[in-house]
Amino acid sequence: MNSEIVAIDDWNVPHKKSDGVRNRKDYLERLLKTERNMKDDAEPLVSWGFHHYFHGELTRQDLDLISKDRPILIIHRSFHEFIMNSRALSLFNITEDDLNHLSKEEKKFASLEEGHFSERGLIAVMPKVMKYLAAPQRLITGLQITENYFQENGITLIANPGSMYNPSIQKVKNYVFGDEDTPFKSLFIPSALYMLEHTDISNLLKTTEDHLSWGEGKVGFLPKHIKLFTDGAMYSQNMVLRDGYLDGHQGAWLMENDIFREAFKLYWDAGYQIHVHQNGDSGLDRLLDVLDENMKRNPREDHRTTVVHFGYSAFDQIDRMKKLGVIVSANPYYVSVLSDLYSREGVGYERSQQMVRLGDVDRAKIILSLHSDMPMAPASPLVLMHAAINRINYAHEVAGPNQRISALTALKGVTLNSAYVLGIENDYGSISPGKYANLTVLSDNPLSIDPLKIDKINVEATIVEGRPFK
Amino acid sequence: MKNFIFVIALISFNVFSLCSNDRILVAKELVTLDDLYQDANAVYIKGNKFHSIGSKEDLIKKFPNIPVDHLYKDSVIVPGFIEHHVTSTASCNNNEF
Repeated sequence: MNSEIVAIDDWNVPHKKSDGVRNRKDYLERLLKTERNMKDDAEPLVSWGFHHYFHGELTRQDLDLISKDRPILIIHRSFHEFIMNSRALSLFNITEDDLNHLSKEEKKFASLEEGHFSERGLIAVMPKVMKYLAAPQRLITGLQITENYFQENGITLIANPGSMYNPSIQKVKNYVFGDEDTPFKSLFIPSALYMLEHTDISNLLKTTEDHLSWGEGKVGFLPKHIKLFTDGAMYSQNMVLRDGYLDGHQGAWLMENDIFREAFKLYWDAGYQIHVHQNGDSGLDRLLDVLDENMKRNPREDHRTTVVHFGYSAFDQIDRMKKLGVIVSANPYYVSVLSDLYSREGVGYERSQQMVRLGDVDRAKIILSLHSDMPMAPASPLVLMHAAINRINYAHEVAGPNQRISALTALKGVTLNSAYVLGIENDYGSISPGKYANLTVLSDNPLSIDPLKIDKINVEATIVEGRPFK
Repeated sequence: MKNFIFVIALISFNVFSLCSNDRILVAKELVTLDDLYQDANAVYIKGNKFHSIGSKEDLIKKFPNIPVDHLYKDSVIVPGFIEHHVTSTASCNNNEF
C-alpha cells in the first residue's frame, strides 16, 4: 500500500483510492498521468496491480516511453513478476551477472532485454530490488497504513505463512506490529523456498527453528508450521494444469519436485503442519502424491496438511483430499476477478467456472477457511465471504453456482476454521468461555442479511483480548 | 481509621474497576459459533478472555457487580475475524509470495 495502485479492481485503502482499469489504453494513460504528477523527478515510480491479460504485454521499452529518466518498477498483480525500465535496471544494478547461475529452464523467466523477471528468474534479482523496496522508512510507512487497514476491516489476528528469510525486515515488522497498541496479534510461518536460497536442506530444520526467536511483543512465529510451494501464481497464469493451457504456454513450478519431496518428508517426520501453496490441479496432484507416500510410510493423525490458495482442482481430487485428511485455505476472490477472463483466456470456460471449488469441499466435509493473501485480494473478511457465498464475476454472472457455500460456512472460514488452520482453535475463533476476548462488531448479521449485501456490512469496531479498537 | 481504610479500599476498587476491561457486553445479536451458546445476546469479558455467555438478564443477575456496556446494543457481534494469510510486506507493495 506504499506504491501507486493501478489494478483491475477498485482499492479503498486509507488515504488512497484507486479505481480499477481493465484495458491497455486506460492502464498506460493512468501510468503516464501518475508519472507526470510526481513532484520529485528522481523518485522511482513503483506501481502494483498490472495484469497482462487485461493490460497487454509490458516491456522495458514500453516503460522507457513513459520515462527514460525516472526509474519505473511495475509489480505484477501476482507479485511473481517485476517489470522495469532501463533507468530502474541501472538503479538496482541488475546485470547479466545476476542471471548467470540460472539453469536454462530458469533463464526463460528472466529477460534483461525486456526488463521482465518472474518466478525463479525474479528470485535471482529480488535481493537487489528489495534493498530499495524494504528500506526501513518505506517499509514502516507501508506497514502502518496496512495496520489501520486490517483493523478497519474487522481483523483481530493475522498470520503470514511464507514470510521472508530476512531478519532485518522482520525487525521492522516487529517494530510496527509488535507494540501493545497494534490492534491484532501477528503469527508468522517460515518459508522453505526462501530459506533454501540461503541454506541447504541439511540445515533446513535448524534454520526453521531459529525463526522462533525472531518475533517480539505481539509478533511471533508459530512453532512446527512450515510453508512449501508447488506450482506458480494464479494471476500470472503460472499454475500447472493437468490439461495445459489453451494458448499452449506452460506453467511453472516454484519448488522442483525432488526438493519439494525431500523438504516435505523432512518436515513431516519432524511433526510439522505443512502449508502448501498450490494453484493448479497438477500442483495439487503433486501435493497429494507426496502426502500419500508419507502417510503410508509414517502415518500421522491430525496432521492438518493445508492446501493453500486452491485455485484450480479437479473433482476427482476431492475424495482423495478427504481420505488423506487435508484441509483447505482458499482464496475465493480469484473467482470474482478472474473466472470470467480465464474462461476466455488461457484456461477455458469449464475449468474456470469450477475454480476454487468450495461447494465440493464443503459437501465432502473437508474443513475450509478463507484468506485474502493480501494484496492478492483485499484483506476484508466480509469481501472474502461475499466472494465465496455469491461467486459473482466481472461478467456479472454466477461462476459455478454449485460451488457456492453458505454464509455460516463462510463465516466459520474467517473465524473458527481460520483459527483451526493455525492450530489455535482452542484459544480463538468463537465466542466461548476461556477463549481470548476477540470480537468484531458489525452493523448487520452476515448470516441473515441478503447475501448480495454482505460486502456492504459496516465494521463498527473490533475488540482484541478485551480491549476495544475503533 | 478503619473507615478511612475502607474508603481508600473502595476508591481503589472503583479505580481498579474503571481501569480494567471487565464488563458485560450487550449486543443486538451475538453470533458465537459455539453450539452451546446459540441464543445469547451478551458476553462477560473478564481480563482478556471470555468468562461467560448468555442472555443479558441472566448475566446481570449472575454477576451483579460487573459493569454493563451498552455501546454495541444495536450492533451484531461475531467472533473476531482471523485473516490467516496475508503477506504483510507485500501488502505495502514490497514483495513476498
